[in-house]
Amino acid sequence: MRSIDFGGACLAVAALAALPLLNPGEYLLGVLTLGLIYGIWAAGWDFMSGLTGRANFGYGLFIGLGAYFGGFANTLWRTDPWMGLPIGVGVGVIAALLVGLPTLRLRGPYFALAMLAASVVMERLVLILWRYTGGDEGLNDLDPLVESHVAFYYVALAFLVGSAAILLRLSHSRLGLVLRAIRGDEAACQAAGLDVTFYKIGSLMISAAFGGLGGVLYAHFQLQVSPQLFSMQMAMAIITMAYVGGLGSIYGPVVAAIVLTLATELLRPFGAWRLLVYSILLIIALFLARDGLVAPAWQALRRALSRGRDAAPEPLRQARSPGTSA
Amino acid sequence: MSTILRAEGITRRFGGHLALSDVRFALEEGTVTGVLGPNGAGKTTLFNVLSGFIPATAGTVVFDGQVVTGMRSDRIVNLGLARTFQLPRPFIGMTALENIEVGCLGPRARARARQAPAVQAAALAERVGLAAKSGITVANLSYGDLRRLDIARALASHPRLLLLDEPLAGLGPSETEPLLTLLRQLNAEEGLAILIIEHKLSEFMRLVDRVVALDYGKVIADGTPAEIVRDARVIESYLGGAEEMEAEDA
Ligand SMILES: Nc1ncnc2c1ncn2[C@@H]1O[C@H](COP(=O)(O)OP(=O)(O)OP(=O)(O)O)[C@@H](O)[C@H]1O
Ligand SMILES: [Mg+2]
Repeated sequence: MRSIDFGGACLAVAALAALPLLNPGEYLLGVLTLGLIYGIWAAGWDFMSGLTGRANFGYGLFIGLGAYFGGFANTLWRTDPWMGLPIGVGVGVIAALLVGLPTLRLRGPYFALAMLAASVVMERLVLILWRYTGGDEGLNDLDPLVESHVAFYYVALAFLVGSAAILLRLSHSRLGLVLRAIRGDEAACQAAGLDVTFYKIGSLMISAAFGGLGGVLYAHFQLQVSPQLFSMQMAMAIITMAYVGGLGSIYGPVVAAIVLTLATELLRPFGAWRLLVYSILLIIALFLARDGLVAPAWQALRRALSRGRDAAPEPLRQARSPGTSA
Repeated sequence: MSTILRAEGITRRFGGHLALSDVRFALEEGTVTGVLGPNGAGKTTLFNVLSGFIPATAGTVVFDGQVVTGMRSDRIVNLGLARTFQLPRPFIGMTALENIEVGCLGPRARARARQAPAVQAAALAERVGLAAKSGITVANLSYGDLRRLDIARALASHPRLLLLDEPLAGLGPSETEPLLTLLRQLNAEEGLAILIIEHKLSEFMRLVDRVVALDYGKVIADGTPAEIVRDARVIESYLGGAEEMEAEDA
């Protein structure tokens, strides 16, 4: 079974890697690159919120902080743009600790509200401190990470593949098992001797690391940082991707992020309608396809494929190593 | 023998309602003690306080020489005091084996384990008689299976004292005997101390060494099963009504 997943992933990555060879043009390549960055965010969001079931409406906090600190490093202190990446990760992780520590100990809506409030406050703060942050205009004239757009596409793809691989591995590890148990029943986890708060804060820090990483990538992609990164709209787009992809699956949100980014960029002429499209999609996902669309579709395809393999003629079946049939 | 748990004047109030009032008793290491009392007597509330799931309004719980009142419930589990719930609380969407494995991931379970959590979980599934069903998701398990699952998960933390809240409730006769055998084994072979709430009296009385009887949140009697069944207050508050209760159940 595992070999089918691996095969599917390799195929998807190969297809994404081959895309620039088809000469898609600068605009479409840019949209695809944006989709890859959204993929990192959707996977990062999903790791904490999808697995533990604690929706995070303030994920923009980690994205924005990562982007701004990466931007400051590059524009004020003139550090190498690559140095921004660990800075963005670190800032995201620290922010997660600061918000998570007081709120994830409590049950109820405190965490959801605190995350939302923190991102809204930060968005305002950026405007109030315009002397340092550039206010509405944000930070400009960042150095590019790499020279060409195609090269940047591959950088983003590499980071997405790495991020998704790490998060998928973690979600299938013992840590992932505990996080799914927390989603089911916190009290039962405590009865099992698990420090629920520790795991929730830990998973938020991991989630935030990828928010910050994507934030810095985004900053060096746009060569600009703006306060919209903190916005609720940003978080809602990512949440929609996670729901449409299938919560807790990691790969589903990644696929949904790429597809939805493409779809909504093509809807850009409709301007304000884009938010409506996201909202309607989210509602559909919530009410009609409760497990999302991407992950269940893949599971169904996988079942069909493995049935096909089992029905294969005898010599073919013997040719497979014994481990793969289990 | 030394004392493993001491309840010192435990009081618990829910608004104006006094669910527990100055409850005192001590449990000896390696013994099986029963908690008896009519519905609403405060038995589950007592378990919730002992295991740290809800704070006591007043009083102290001493486990293994250490005051555990006010301590986080998972810390108490890691000191060796585990519990099950009156209604089983499995992790929905996981297999039986994964459920038990979660119990094998706590610090105490990890520190004492000689094998990987998944191997340990499989051994525990075997022990409680769930081996054949370990790959089944909990939605497809019977009520009796879920009870055994809860017990297996609690056992994963290598407890020295196990609190069982009506482990036989909802179990058929064919499931009751194996579970009682398992509890006797755990007690005899591993010296596990057990505090058990149970309404199935004949099984209960044969299992326990001693009984603490509660009514309206107060300890009304404390003694051997033989003493308890002759105690006038226990008969009045509980045993007298027991036949009625069993008739209702039928
Ligand atoms: N969280 C709570 N809030 C308010 N009242 C509660 C709460 N938990 C229990 N009580 C009350 O405390 C009393 C004791 O309840 P408890 O569940 O401990 O009884 P019990 O002895 O376990 O009964 P049963 O045999 O039915 O399980 C009851 O009157 C109950 O209504
Ligand atoms: Mg009860």
